[in-house]
Amino acid sequence: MTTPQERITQLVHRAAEQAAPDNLDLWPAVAARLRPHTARVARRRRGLLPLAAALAILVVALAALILNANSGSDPVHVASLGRNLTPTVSPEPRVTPADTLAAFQSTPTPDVESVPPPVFPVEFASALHCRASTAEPGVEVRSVPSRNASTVLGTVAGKTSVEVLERRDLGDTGWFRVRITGNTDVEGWVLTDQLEGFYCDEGNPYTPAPCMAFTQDAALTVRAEPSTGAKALGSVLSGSQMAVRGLDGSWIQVEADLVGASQPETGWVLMERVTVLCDAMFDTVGDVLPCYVTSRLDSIKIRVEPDSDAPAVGTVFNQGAQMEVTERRDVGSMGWYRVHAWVPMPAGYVDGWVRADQVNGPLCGAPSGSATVYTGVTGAGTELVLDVEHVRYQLPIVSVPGQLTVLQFSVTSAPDHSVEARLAYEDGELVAAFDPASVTQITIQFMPRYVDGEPVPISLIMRGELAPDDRVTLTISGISFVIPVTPTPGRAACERYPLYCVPLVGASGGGEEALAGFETPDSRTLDAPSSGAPGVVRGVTAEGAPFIGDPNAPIRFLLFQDLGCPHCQTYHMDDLRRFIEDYVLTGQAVLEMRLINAVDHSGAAAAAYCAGEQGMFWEMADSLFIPVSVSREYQIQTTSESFGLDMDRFNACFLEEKYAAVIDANRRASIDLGVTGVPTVLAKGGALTTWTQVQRDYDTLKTLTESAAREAGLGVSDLLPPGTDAVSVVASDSYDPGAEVDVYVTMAFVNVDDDFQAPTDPGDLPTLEPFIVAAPPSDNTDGVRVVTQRVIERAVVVLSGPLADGSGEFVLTLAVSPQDAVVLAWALDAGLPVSIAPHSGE
Amino acid sequence: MDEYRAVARLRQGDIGGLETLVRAYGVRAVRAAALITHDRPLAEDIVQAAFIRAYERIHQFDPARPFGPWFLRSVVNDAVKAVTRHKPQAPLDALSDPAPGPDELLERAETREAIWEALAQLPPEQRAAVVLRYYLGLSEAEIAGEQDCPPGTVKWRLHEARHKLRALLTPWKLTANSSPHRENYS
Repeated sequence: MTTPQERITQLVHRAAEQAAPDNLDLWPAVAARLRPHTARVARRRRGLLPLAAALAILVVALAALILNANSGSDPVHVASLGRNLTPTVSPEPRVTPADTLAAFQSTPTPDVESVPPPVFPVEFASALHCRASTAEPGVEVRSVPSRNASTVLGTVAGKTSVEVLERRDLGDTGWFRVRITGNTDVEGWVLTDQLEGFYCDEGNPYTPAPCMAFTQDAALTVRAEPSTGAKALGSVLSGSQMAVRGLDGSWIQVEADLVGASQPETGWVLMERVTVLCDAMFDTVGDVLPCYVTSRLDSIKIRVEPDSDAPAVGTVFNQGAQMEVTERRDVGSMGWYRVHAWVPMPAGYVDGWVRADQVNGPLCGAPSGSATVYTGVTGAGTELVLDVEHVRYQLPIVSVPGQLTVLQFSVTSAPDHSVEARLAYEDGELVAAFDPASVTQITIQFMPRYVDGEPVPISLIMRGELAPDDRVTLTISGISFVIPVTPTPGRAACERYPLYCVPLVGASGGGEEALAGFETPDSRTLDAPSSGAPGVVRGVTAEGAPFIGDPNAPIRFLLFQDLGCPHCQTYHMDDLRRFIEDYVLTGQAVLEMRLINAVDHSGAAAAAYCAGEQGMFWEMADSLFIPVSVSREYQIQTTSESFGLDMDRFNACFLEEKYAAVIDANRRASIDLGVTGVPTVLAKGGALTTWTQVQRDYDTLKTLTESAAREAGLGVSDLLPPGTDAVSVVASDSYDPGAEVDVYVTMAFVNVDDDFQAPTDPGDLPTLEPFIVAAPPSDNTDGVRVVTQRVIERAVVVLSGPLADGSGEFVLTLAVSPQDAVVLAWALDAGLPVSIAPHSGE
Repeated sequence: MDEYRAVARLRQGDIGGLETLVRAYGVRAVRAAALITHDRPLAEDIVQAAFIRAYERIHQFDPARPFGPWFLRSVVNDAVKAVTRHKPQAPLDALSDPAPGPDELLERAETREAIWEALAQLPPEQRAAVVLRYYLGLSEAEIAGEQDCPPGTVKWRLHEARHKLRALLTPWKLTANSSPHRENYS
């Protein structure tokens, strides 16, 4: 599977190939344009020469005038002007441009033809003394070759001449160490593209050190031996840099400019007190100093072998994620680094290989990171544990030894909730504790503790009455994470997700092989009685889609869903939930869901399927809709953990992309069914004999379900208006559901003389069955008389259908009041002729 | 002869150095320019002019830096300028209307024409960002430096571009004008 980034790269390359053929030769055209052009330039130069000379004379005269005017009153300005003129007035440089070029190659040589291309790292190993000038005004001179870790020592005007001491390429960025002499000498680092006009001669040779050590914000003692008890040679000021000459345990041998000393001295400093930056020379120093590369891409696969086709052991997400490097190997034209890196899936450290062109660095030196980030939110609403280390990939925090680290967090919870918080190292040493009253907004500043150069993990534990809707915001280095307080559903999923709490039946009717063992009865035991009507279950359809509902329901809905799409989420949380509750759990409809990756490529769908192996497909899909500001990978991991899933099994499933084929099949199915967006709902059942796209809103689904139920003659009770009963009658005409009708009954009335006839049981009355309707009405009050009477007014037709005996008559199901139902039932029971007529109105 | 020697020779006025560079970078440069201009002859003209300019100004070029990336980036800039100049009010921002139907896009998704035409619908700066990022492989930070705008703007341009190309990336999704009840979103 390719990521969108890879895909767009492929497509753009293809389009590029289409734009021009490989064998396109531009040279003839360029050469043709060049010849007249060069001739023209040459002519113009000849023509302009006298004028240029005159101008030069004028410039010199003006300069002399200015110099004279300013001398004495403003020497600084004069000096500066003089420096600025240096590059232009320098007569006949003693070196050629080729020499200048050579000065920046790893092997300096005056022979231009034999200059090898620079190899990374480009070292400034020249015996030449070089100067250059700043290209633009406002060039910042930094304390160390880093945009982030450095302080700006000063800003230099444009066209200022500087002495170039060293070149260092760190990752993508090239730096020159420069010295600027003036009122105050400044030495520091500038970006390579900020200098121009290089000019070198054979000045002081300079031998670069592979690594440089930089002091932090405090002065540092340099000792004669690698031991705290050794004699102090002197100290270096904060912000100093020292060439690294050797290593011994946690001590670094440096060549340092000691305060008050006239020349550099060699001595030892504690590694943790300095920041060490090296070129990519970890072959020699990597054994002692840890080296790191940082991700250049949003995601990088770590592979078991230095080979792009080798299986991945994990993926590092987010640009800037740090990985410790243990080895470099070049395979063909591709460089590879062996790294030890934290990956979120499965959460933990892995060893493997990353491509050199996908990372920056390496930088070697004091370890950074990991003093601050939370890992997770566990606990059932009363305890929140923010474990600091796990989101290392999320945000590389550089916590420098000896430097204050600032943690900020706030708890937004209901007013009557109170939380106590405790920040402690993993060995129990308390950093800070907060009482419940003041815990809504906390800023912690603490000095990270290091043991043998490794930061001691720290965790923030909060105890209190956090409610499920509470939010904890943690801000580290100005970046905020919102952490939802998620009660642990664990196996008690029914309590949290009653919507899906129905018996699991697994694959029905054979199911699709790919989903065998999915949502099976033994994968999970319900922790509560089923929320659904009898017959409502969840499992897998024969077509291979997870479903929920009564398999015998007259209508099925198929939902194509993407867990990364906001509309899908809105739909899932609102209309769909209502529909599940009202129609799926009541057994009137089946909902099938197929997850596709139209938008989401984070693996959320795969995670939901993997959870399905453990009977948690619907719960996982539902919970992965909830947006959090942590990364998706992290969300998947913590959610699956909080579900109490067997994590080994889940991770194995997720990593081997076990359900990729299923998700792909879903995509194909969506295309086959003409689906063009997510979410899309299709329906089958009732009047719809094949899968048909329908509007997805609640009312549409409701109407479809009800009409399917009518067609099937099922679910009458759900169709009845409140307070009515259903009675079925045979009618000569058909009526539409919802029609109002009146009911007429023809009866024989017999007067009973209480004085003459004893009261009698109704059962003793003669049967009315052979009653001849055609008998004439009679005024004889003593006789039997026939009366046809409207007994029910405005009965509502809920169902209507032809009588199965082929008589051409219809069966109507009427909704009537209970009293009317008694009357009608008696009439029917008595075999009275019943007629239905449209309600006549008044 | 590698490019460092080529640059060195060029600095000495040796046109052979330029030939090496033209043969090394010509095709890539024309392709990059054509992706932006959608006009192959114009792209070739831009690239030829850029080589001439490189020849004239080779002394301003820092020989310690690789020639290729610098040159290709300057070509991209020229191409953007050329497109903007040729179509001062280029309504390239708007998607062509009517938008191709989903089936049509689906059929063409794998074809080169699709991305080619999709690129044509992007405004020049977005096209340049796509070319710099996905064809020349620059990082967003480098593009920001190149286009002289904040990194956020580059991110936004790439995001917009990807969004507009999304129909190709996920071919079963509709572009605009889908049926009203089924929203599509970014």
